[in-house]
Amino acid sequence: MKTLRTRIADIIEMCALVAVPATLLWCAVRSYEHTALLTLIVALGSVLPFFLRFESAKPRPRDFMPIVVLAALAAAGRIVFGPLPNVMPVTAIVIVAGACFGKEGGFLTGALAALTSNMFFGQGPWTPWQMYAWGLVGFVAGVLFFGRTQSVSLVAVLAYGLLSSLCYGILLDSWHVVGFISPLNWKSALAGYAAGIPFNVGHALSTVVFLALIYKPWIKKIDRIKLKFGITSQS
Amino acid sequence: MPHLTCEKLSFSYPESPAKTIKEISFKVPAGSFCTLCGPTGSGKSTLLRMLKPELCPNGTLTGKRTIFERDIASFAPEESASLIGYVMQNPVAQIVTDSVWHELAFGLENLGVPTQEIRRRVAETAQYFGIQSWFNKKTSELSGGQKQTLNLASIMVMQPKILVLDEPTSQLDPIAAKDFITLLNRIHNELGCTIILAEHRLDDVLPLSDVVLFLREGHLDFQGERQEFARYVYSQAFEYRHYLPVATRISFMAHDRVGKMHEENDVALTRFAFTVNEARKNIETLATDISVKQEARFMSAQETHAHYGTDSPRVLEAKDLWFRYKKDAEPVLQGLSLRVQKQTIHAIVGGNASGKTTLLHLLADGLKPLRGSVKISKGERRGLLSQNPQTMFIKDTVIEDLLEVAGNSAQAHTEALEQLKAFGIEHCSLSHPYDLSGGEMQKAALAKLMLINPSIVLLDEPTKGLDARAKQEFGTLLLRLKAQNKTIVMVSHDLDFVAQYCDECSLIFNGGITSSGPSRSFFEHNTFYTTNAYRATRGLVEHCVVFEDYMRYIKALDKSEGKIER
Amino acid sequence: MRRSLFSLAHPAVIFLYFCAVIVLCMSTLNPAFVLLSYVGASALAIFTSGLRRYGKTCLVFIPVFLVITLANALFNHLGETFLFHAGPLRLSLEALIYGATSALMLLSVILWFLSYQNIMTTDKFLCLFGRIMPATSLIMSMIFRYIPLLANRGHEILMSQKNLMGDVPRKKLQSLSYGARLSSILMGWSLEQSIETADSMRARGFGSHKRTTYTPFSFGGFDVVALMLLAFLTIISLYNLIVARADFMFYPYFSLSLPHALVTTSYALLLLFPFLVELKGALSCRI
Repeated sequence: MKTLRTRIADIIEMCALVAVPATLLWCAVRSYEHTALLTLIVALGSVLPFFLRFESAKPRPRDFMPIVVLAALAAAGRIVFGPLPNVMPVTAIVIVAGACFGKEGGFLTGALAALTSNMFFGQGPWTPWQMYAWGLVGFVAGVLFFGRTQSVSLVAVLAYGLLSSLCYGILLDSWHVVGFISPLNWKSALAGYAAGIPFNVGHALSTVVFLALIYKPWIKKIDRIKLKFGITSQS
Repeated sequence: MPHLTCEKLSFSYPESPAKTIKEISFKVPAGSFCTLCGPTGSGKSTLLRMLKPELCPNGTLTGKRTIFERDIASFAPEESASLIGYVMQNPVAQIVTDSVWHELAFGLENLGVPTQEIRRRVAETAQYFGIQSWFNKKTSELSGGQKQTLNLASIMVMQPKILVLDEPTSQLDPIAAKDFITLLNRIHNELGCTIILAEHRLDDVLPLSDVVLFLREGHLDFQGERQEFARYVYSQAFEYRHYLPVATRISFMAHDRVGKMHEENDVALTRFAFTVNEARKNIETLATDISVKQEARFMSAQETHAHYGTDSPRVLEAKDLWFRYKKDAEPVLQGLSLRVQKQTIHAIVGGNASGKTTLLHLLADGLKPLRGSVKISKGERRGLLSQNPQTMFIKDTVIEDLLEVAGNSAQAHTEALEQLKAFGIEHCSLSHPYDLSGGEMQKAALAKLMLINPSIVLLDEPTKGLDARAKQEFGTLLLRLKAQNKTIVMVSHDLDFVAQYCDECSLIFNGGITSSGPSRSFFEHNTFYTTNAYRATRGLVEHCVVFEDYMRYIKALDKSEGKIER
Repeated sequence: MRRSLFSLAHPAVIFLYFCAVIVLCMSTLNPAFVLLSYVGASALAIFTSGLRRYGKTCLVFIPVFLVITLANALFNHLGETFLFHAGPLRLSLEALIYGATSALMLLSVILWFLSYQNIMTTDKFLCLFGRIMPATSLIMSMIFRYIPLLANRGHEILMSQKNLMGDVPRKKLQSLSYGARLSSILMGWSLEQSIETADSMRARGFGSHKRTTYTPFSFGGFDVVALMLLAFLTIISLYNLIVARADFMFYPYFSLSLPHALVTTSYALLLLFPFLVELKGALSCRI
């Protein structure tokens, strides 16, 4: 049974996740002057509830070690593919993390992979956005696939990989488009988004390839380790 | 006053009905240095983990275990953390954080010690353990020995009364291992900390121990002082002799001999040797007659000469190798040349970070040299077994992993099974590779490697973490491979193993091979970098590099005595 | 040693400074202030990362600058000073200036981040956040510990597997599946070993108590002075930016009256503060 506390935390998390696109939309419609600043702060704020929940949950070390390992793998993978900026294994690994360790685990893996890998790639205003976007990818993967890794078909996972990495790209581009292009009409917005298309398509395709290669074997290995060491997931 | 007491302690894991620990009772007095020894799989780790509530494995535990007359299970986590320190085997896996100072502070942070106090204790601990010079480094930049020192320091910073260590030196090279043991001795002597140490490399540890516990198949077969332990092994546990230090084994032989001469010779009164120095005195007392000694020295030397290697064609040759990992970095190898002869076991020895592993990777064609070349004879194939056998496995069972290389036919299946049988691990075929013990995993990895049918086998630290028995088995395995026309190149820190099984030996230093030759003469030319057996017999017995040579000398003594008497 | 250099200041001072500067930079589109911010950011970036790296970064900036400027200017019908017509496209000077300003603002934010990263090293960041979010900062520190570890293990796995399965294939897709194989071993092995790390944490009392945080940094005299000075400058600048809003407009005609000299000076001082402090330190070192 879920306690009242976890229920409230769940609701707060949902609100935080919805707040970002909602603010973007509101700013776009109202052509708000300080969009860039406001949305950046909202994105940063939306990540906080997850970390605060992690702080208060007091998890056992062996329950969060997988997050450490997967986030480090994602960051290391991003560094390996550094010369090809649109090939990012992070998205695929975050999806696996979400599928194996639930929505919170997925979110934390994504957000932490973004934050730590940027220590090597360079922090920037994109850091909060990447944290939010990759976190979201892991969160939704957790909602969709957690506990169903045996029954969900690979095609569904691949489709989610494709869609989620496109959404990731659109989210990141939105900050530039909504925040720095004014007045915003469909032509200027299109011009702004168009610049990111080659990048986003490359990212989406590479994610599908990565997922096709690693999803099944990784799930199998992680499931064995979860069983062997009694790792509990989904806080 | 007993510090730690266990009474009729038993333990069994949930999945198996057999008890891992069987009704053990022992006492460890406060401030003593206690060594827990026994073959691999005797339950040492399980017993040690039971002394630390947080690490106690899941299962059924009966009996009493107390520290300061309090039940161990009743300790609150923070009490246990600050009272009982626990150092594990793997230096890498124990490190939690990215920087040295944070690692030192980690335990104190967990206990909620105020910042000012942490600052003071971290500073003084870093000072005591000589960490100042690398205090600001990242943990990933440290050497293996430094890592384990850091692990020890970050436990000691919490000022535990009892320090439990589970084979802390098994992954270190001999120099680093000695340094670590010296550090332990300092902690024991200067801080009065009670030390409980599980170890299978006893050469450095036994001379320091006040209490020895000997565990075999879950039974505590012996507890007591180290001289008594030597007597116990001498008279009751013969098959455990080769686990003991070379020095002790030498004094066993001496006792055997003296026993023949004097009927009244009593084991209970003999003081066995534990250090090289004591062993040398023992050897000198073996025979009083100088002519007997000289005759025996001559005879045994003549016999050992037969064991020197002979010339055979070269199969692997490295010429003027230069290598570096990064542009602008100091080259690891600087004009290194090496020749390996066919059907020999060739050892490459040298200190930490001397480029041994890099050389092996170059020889295996895994890395490309900056300059120079590696050549192999026609028709030869290389196979590399890296330091961590885990890198070889990808499937869920050992047999599947082997079939991945062998192919999927029925014939391949029998071939793979035969391979496992040949390595003596057919019982593991359906286990997950990572669930095997260190020695078994090593063999399984080698079995997999042998399926690609290499004629040159390259091994990186193959005896790391193996106990005396497993080492012996592994050595026999190598000799068998050699007999099957294989050439073996191994990188090793384990000089005793190298002296025993290898034909050729090369020392790598400062990016090049400084000396290379038959391993016997190699060790005989060295004073510091040589085997314990040679150190103990240097100047007393000729050509005695391994313990077996010493036994030969003893036989020769008997013979020459007989001759002279006649 | 007196800690007179900005990079040696307490992490909190550094962090607050960059927060203030970045927020201020993003809160005004006044071209004069945007330009000022860009100059300040450039000065510090050149100082902290060298001219070469700064130049490289600026090279990357050119396409970003062009895209944002053009996306703003080409589809904008608000300006009145037309530069040229081409069918539906009308380019006005005002829109061009607006676009350029907007792009410059983005670039100066990025530059501020660049210097931020050079000065606020991982250690400082983790120390600062260790107090506010101890578990998160610990987990980050663990990730930083694992990244080089994974790289080493990856190398070892590559060496093993190369020998066992042959060299990395040349074809792209095959080499990817080869890489996936390596990563799979790396993941399984590391996850297995990470349990030992978890045990080591438990053995050292993790989770037994509310954690405190050790930091090698202490809040000294320089930090107090710097913080007060910076707070003062920030407040003036904030006031400045709010009031100065009225002093410029883009549409229909671009106009910019120079803001009050005193407030501009205080904003410039704020932006150049770390640069000046570092410069002074660098000069006094040389003597």
